[in-house]
Amino acid sequence: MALISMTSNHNRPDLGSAKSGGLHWLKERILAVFMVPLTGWFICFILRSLSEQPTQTLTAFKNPFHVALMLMFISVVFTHAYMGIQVVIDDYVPRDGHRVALTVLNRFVMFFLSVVAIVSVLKLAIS
Amino acid sequence: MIFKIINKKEEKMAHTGKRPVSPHLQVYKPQLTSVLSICHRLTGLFLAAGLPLLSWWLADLAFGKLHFECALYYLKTPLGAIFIGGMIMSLYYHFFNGIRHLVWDIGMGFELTQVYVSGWLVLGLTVLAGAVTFWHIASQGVWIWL
Repeated sequence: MALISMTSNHNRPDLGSAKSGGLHWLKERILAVFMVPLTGWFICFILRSLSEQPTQTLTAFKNPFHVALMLMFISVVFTHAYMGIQVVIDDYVPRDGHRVALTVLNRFVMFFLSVVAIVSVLKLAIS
Repeated sequence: MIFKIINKKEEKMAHTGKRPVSPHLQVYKPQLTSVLSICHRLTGLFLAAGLPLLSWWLADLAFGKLHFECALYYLKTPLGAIFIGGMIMSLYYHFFNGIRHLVWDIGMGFELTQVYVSGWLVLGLTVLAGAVTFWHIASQGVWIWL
């Protein structure tokens, strides 16, 4: 058994790579790289929004540049967050049932919150 | 024979769900490297807990509640101020330490001295950026705290 797995892991039907780990790892890193400039923009945007009148924030959302960056930030940050939470769940929740429940909850909540944010930004941009 | 016993034990562990959990933080002596590592996770979770606030703020704006009234009621309490302060510091820490992780991912900075230098650098930048932000908030008269 041991010999077989050492020589041809990829041919084993029961063990070995599911051939999705590398892509998952790469997705995490790409999202993290995207987060760097987007977070820089987001901090500036939030601090400016909080120190000026809210009506000025509304005009900022009429600017396609800010709308695009906010939509990018939302989609990247929520994906980055659910992937990060997922790693913590996988590391610390040993029971299958609990882990599956938390995984579904994590995805649902993050999906819901991101859609709320995106729809709100689109409404602000168009109306 | 022994292997069979071990396998049976492992099988039993798998079925009862009592699989080993990683990482066992409590058995290690705290060091800068390990403390910064767990802080990256904790700040990440904390920041994720702040994401509903982003959706809430944007939805409030979309509903025409321009001054973020509902959330402001809670944010103006001392607990709310601690939450926002923690959010700002966590964001900077996670941001700088995340860049540190990305540098490691391209294979740089793995020497022990480099790891410690980058660790202290991250802490220094976090404190500096946090101080500048709090100074900015104090001097600009941020309406959320008025």
